[in-house]
Amino acid sequence: MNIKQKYLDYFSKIEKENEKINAYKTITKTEALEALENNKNPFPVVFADQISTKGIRTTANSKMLENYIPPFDATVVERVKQAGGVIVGKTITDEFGVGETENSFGTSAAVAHSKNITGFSGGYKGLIHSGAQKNGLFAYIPTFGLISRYGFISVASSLDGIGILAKSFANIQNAMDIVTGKDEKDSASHSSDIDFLNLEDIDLSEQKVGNINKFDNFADVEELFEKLNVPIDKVTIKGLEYALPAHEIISAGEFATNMEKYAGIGFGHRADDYNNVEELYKNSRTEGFGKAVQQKIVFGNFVLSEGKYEEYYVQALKARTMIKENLDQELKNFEFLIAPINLYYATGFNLAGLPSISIPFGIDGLLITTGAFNDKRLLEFGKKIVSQLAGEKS
Amino acid sequence: MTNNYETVMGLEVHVELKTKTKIFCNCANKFGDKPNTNTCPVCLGLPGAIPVLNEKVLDLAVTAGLATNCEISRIGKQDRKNYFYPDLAKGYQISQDENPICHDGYLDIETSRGKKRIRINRMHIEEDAGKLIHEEGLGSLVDNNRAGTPLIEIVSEPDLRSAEEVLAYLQKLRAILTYTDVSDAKMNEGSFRCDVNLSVREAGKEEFGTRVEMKNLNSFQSIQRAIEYETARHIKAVESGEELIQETRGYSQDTRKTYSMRSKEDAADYRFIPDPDLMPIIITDEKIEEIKESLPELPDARKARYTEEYGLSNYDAEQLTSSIEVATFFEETVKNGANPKSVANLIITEIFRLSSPEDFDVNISPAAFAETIEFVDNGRINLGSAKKIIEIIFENPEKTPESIIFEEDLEQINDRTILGKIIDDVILHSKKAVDEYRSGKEKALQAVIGQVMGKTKGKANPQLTIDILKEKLG
Repeated sequence: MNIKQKYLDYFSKIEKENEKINAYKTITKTEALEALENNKNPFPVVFADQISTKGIRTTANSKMLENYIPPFDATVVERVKQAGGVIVGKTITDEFGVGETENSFGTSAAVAHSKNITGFSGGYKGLIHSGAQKNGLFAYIPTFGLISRYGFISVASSLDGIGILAKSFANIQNAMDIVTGKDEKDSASHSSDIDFLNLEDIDLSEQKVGNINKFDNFADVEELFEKLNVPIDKVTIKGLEYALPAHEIISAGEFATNMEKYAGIGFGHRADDYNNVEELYKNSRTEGFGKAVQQKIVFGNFVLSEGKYEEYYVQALKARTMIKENLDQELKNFEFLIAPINLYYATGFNLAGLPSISIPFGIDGLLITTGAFNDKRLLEFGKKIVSQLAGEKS
Repeated sequence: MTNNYETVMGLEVHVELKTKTKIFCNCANKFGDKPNTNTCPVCLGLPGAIPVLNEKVLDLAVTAGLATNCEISRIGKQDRKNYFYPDLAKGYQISQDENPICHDGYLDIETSRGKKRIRINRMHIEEDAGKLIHEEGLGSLVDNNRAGTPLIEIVSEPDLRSAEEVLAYLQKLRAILTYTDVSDAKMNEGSFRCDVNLSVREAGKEEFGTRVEMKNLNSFQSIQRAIEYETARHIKAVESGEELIQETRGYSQDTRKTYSMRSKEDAADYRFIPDPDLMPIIITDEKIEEIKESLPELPDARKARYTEEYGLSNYDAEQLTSSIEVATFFEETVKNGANPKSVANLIITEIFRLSSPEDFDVNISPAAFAETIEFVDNGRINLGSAKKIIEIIFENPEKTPESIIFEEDLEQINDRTILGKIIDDVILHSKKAVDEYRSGKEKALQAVIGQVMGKTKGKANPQLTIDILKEKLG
C-alpha cells in the first residue's frame, strides 16, 4: 500500500470518528496530500490550534480567532515542514490555553487515535502530561528555550514552552532533533548541540533519583523502581505548595496583557454593534472571549493594577524564584526528581522552566524532571525505564 | 506682577532613533512611505509573533546617555505599558518602567542670563505607536509604518524657569543628538517631540503649584507660545483664587491657546509588567568604554574651541554649534579662507534668516560663501551686497558671487573723489537732516547716509561714506 493511500485511509477514519473523540478543530486533508508530493521523508504531525500555521486557520479554539488565518508559520511548524512533516490537522485546546473547551486534551486524543502521529502542544502548566496519562502517551516538555515560542499564540509567555506528545520515544527524539536550535525570532531560544537521535543505554541502578511525592498515591511507581533496582530517596521541595497559587497569579498577569491585542481592530472578532471605539473594544471582547478567558483577564488585570502589583504579582515572582532555587538545589543532590502526574508538581517544573517527561504508568503516572538543559539524560533515563517496563510485561 | 511668580518646568522629550530597522523586527525604520508597507507580524502584533530587541537601539541610547553625562545601567528590563488605542496593535507599548537605560545626567545651557545646568532624571528606550489617519467617509484608518520605531524618552528634572531656558535646553539636546548621529531630531517630521510639564508658584515658595502636562507642541514657536499662554493662565487663576486642576492640555496653533485634553482622574492605570517575551538587557563595561571612545566632539567642546581658536563670543559660538549642520557649514567656510568672525556674523544674521538652525538646509556652497565674505572683507562689496548675493545664490545655486557682482553691478564705490561728488550733491538736497545733525542730533546722519546709499544703489563704501560726511559736515 502506498503512503498516499495510508493517509487517505487515516483521513476517512478520522472524519468519521472526530465527533466522538473531539481531537481536531480543523482536519487539513488537502494540505496534507499536497505536502506528500515529492516528499522523501514524510511523517505525520498535528499541531495544537494555538500554534500558527501559514494559510491554515488557527483559532486558539476561540470565537475571537474563529476566522484567523496566520500569514506565517510558527518556527516549530516551519522546521517540521522542512524536515518532511505532514500536518494532518489542528487539534482542540482549551480556549487560548486556559478557557472552556470540548476537550482539553485534543492533541493527545489525535496522537492516541493514530499509529504514528507526533503532536505539538503548549507546555503551559504541564497540562499535556495529564492528557498523555489519560491517553497512554509520552509527553515531554523540554527546558524552556530549547524550542522557539515564535508563532505559539501566547498564554503566559514565560511559561509557554512547547511540548511533544507521542507513542514512542523515537518520535520524540526525531521531533527534538528537528525543532531545537537557536531561533533569531525568539530571544529566549537557545542554541543546542544535543544529539537527540543517539541516546546512550544507561544502568538504572547507578542513577541518583529523588522522590518528591508528598501524598500517598505513588505506591505503584515506588514498587516499580524497587523492582527495577533503582534506588530512590524521599525528598521534600520546600515551598512547592506555593507553585499553584504563584502560577495562577503570574500566568493571569501575563495572560491579561497578552490578550490586550484582541480588541477588534487589526484582526480577530469585531463586534457589529458599537457607537464608539470604547464600545468596539468592549463588545468585540465580550462576544469573542469565553467566560473563563474573561475571568482570567479580569483576575490578571487585578493583580497588575496599582496597589495590587506589589501585594500579589511581586510576591508570586518571589515564590517562583524560591521554588526554582529549591528545585535547583535538590537537583544538585539528585540528577532526577520523580513525582506523580499532578499539577502540584507540574506547575512547579513549569515555573522553574525545567524539562519534564511523563510516562503513563499505574494510577497517577510518572513525572520526571532534571536540571535545565540536561534533557538528553532525562530522555535516556525515561527511555530505559520504558524499555524495562516493556520487558516486565513480556 | 509676573516677577512675583516663578514658572517651574520639566520636559519629556521623545526622540526617534536613527536605526535601519525597527526596535523589535526587521522592518525598515523609514518616514514617509506608503501606509502599512513597512510592517510584519511582529509590529502588527499578530497572535504568536514576538519581539526581539534590536541591539543598535541600545548602542544609540547609551551614546545619548554618555553624551548627556548620564549614568548607564548595567542591567535593564523592558516593561509593557497596557492601554487600548487603535494605533497600538498589541494593546501595550513596550517601554521601560523601572531601570531606565540611562539616569542622572545633565546639560549645560546658555541664555541671556548666562550659563545654567539642567539635570536629566532618566532616559529610557521604547517603541513608537502607529498613526491614525482620519479620512472623510472612511472613518479612522491605521498606518502601522511608525509602529515599532525606536524611541528614547528623555525626562528632565523640573529645573527650567522660562521659555528661553526651555528652548535653549531643547536646542542643546537636539545638537547633541545630531552630533552623535543618534537621531535626525526633526521636529517637523516628528522625530523630536516635546511635552512640557508646567506649574506656577509664588516667588520664594518651596512647594510646587498645580501641574499641567502640555502635549502636541510641534515647533519651537508652539512651545514658546504655549508656555507663555499657560503661565499667564496659571497666574490669573492664582490671583483670582480660581482652582487649577492637574490635567493634560493640548496646544492649538490656530487659536494659539492651550485646551484641556483629559484630567488626572481619567488617567489610565497602565498595569506595567516586565515583558516576558524579552530577555533582560545587559550592558557591559567594555561596551560603554567602546561607545565612549567613539563619541565625536560634542557641542560644548566645539563651542569652547570656537571661542578659543576663533575668538568668537560665547553667544555666537553657542549659535553656531547648535546643530552639526551649522557647525560643519561654519568650519567648511573657514577652511575656504574666510575670516571666522565675519563668517559667524553672516551665518547668524543672514543665513539663519533664510534657513533656521533647527532645520538647516542651505543652498550655497561653503566655497561661494567664503568668497562672498572675502569680497566684503577686502572692500570689493559691502555687507548689503553680500546679503543680496547670498539671496540670489539661494534661488539660483548655479550662479557665482563673481557673476552676480557683474550682473547686478555690486562693485563697491571706494573712490574718494567719486563718492565725494555724490555726497556733495546729497548734502545740497538734504538741508533739513544736515541742519539737524549740525545742531547736535547724531541720528540725523543716518538719513543722510541713507540718501547716499539710495543714490549709489547701495554700492557706497559705508565707512568711507561716514568718514567723508563727517569731514564735510564737521
